[in-house]
Amino acid sequence: MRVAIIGAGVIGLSTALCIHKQYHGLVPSLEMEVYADRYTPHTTSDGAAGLWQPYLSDHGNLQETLWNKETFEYLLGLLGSAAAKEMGLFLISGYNLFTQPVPDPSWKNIALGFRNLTPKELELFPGYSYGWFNTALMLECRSYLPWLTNRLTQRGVKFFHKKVESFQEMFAQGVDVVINCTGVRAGELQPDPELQPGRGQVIKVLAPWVKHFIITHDIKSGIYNSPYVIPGSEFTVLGGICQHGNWSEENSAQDHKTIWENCCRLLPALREAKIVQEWSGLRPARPRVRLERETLRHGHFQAEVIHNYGHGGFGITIHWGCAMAAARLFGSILQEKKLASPPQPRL
Amino acid sequence: MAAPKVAVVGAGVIGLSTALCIAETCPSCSVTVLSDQFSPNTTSDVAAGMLIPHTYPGTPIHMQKQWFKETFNYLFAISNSTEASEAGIHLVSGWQVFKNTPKEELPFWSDVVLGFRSMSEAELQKFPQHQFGQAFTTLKCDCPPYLLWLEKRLKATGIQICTRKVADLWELHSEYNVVVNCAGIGAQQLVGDEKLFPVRGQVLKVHAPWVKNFIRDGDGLTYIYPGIHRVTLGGTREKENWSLSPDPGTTKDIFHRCCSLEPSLWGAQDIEVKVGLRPSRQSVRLEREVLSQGGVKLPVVHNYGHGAGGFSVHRGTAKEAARLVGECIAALQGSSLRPRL
Repeated sequence: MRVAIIGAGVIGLSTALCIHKQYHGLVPSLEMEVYADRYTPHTTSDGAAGLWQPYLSDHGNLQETLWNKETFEYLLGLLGSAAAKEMGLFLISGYNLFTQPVPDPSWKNIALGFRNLTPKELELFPGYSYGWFNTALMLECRSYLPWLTNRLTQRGVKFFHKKVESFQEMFAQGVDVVINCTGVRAGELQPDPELQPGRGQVIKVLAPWVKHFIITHDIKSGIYNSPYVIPGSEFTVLGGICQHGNWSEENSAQDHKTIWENCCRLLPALREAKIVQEWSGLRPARPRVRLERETLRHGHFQAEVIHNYGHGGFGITIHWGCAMAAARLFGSILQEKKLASPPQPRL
Repeated sequence: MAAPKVAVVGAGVIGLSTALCIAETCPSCSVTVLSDQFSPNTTSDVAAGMLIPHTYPGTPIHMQKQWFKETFNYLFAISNSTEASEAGIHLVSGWQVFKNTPKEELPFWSDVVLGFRSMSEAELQKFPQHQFGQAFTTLKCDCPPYLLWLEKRLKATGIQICTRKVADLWELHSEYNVVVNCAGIGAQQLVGDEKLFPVRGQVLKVHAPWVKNFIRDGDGLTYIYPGIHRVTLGGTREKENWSLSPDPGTTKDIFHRCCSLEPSLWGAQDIEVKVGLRPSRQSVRLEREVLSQGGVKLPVVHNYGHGAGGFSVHRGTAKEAARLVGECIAALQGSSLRPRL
């Protein structure tokens, strides 16, 4: 049974690991391969700060809220382990700021210690009159992706540096199941008008005195179009750009100015911070995550694809719940193959 | 008196902040800081600088709360300004956890720090050996940055800072009108205060930049305080121990205790061991005294004995000391106006 994962961002690698862990024992002939044209540190996941935080509203999409919860609980359980540091996993507390009261988010009971901000705390953030405080997790992909890669390599999973042009190409090679984790470029393998880039730009600075994440929200401009400051283990990420439909991965001077001025207004001490790097990436935005099976038929052959893409700006937040759901879909494929294939007559 | 000459003895957080307050309240004063030790070699440099008050058994609670509040508000404003990183002042959130539920659930300072509340069950799960906890956000003064920033502010006001070991306060009587004693643990020798005793603290300063929250065991012995570049792991509270040499057995013990609170610390790098002697007393000695010899008088203001709570109350006690200095000067000026008979 040959399984090919296309895409080596957080979704591709975690789905690969989840499936391999669950089914390697059950399917002795399981051969797994990862194909990608970009590997860490050049994936979209690598540019993200790595903060676990779902969007403000799940738009009634309880499935996604459940996957976010599963991811949080999975990561929380790993916090005390020896792997945590190598994974780039740690706890972090911080602030979400609003200019008006908003309903509590779907994740208020998933994160730790969620509460509203007190008037004294709001004094820290002139211009914001309402907010939340909670403790969440950071999962830095520049550590997590290498960690996943190591776990997979130890398990005998093979990696190929290659741009896959079509699903057909995989099946022609003898792959039985393709897991499509191609993120923002999934449309190149199969057109998907619902998938659009949500272009982001970030400035990475040295500001080690910042110990909290600060995410501001402007209901009018939309998610991630309002300044945010997220301290990592080495750098602090300044952001606040989300341009729907913009495919450019070039850093924009205008966006730099927007981010810098807005973040320095939010945290005046940032003016003293040294700028280390600038990066742009494309969030794979979609009204909802595409996580489903698709059976592709070519003549006599029937090939299976599991799609797992379109995680927008919450890929890290939701990744493990999705990986497990993809693994369940894989399990159902295995079930069907066992039931459906009678012993082949020998010719 | 044209420009009253004030000497401040001691250049730790108490000495420097007191000198600054005197300069602020008495612009006509000529202030000089005298000390044999400066940052990074003061007791303050060893401390983590967390604003979590120590309770002095001999000082009324309302006064301790006043001092803490003033200090907190002063630093809060700096943390929110462009000077925050230079001054080494930053906000930090975290948890104080107890193995047994404390009798007093609300400490006197709970409404001064930010967002104080009891920890939820989910939060406590991270601390399986602890039954109860409090979550809050407070401030941290990183040293040396904070002391260096104070020195810079002092120099900007024209204050002189001189290296000098003062063996006896009286030796200053001919050069200064008022002396302020901020000698910390040095006051034991300087003024022979038997009520002052060291409480030895050993700490580790480690590189663990992924630790963003503080964790403190309510027993005060084990704590993890993330600073700008290093995390302070503590500690010990050894009464009457004067030794400034790091003890290797203690180092191992502190490290193990902290790792059991925060397992990721096993991966900490670059461990630096430091020792400080908390200048401890039942109450902070914050009062006036007049030394006299052969008809010559020297007004003294004492501001020492802050023990484990120096950073938490430094600005509040500095302001009070400055006020007392003002009283001394007024008394001197009053007596100089009295007609000589």
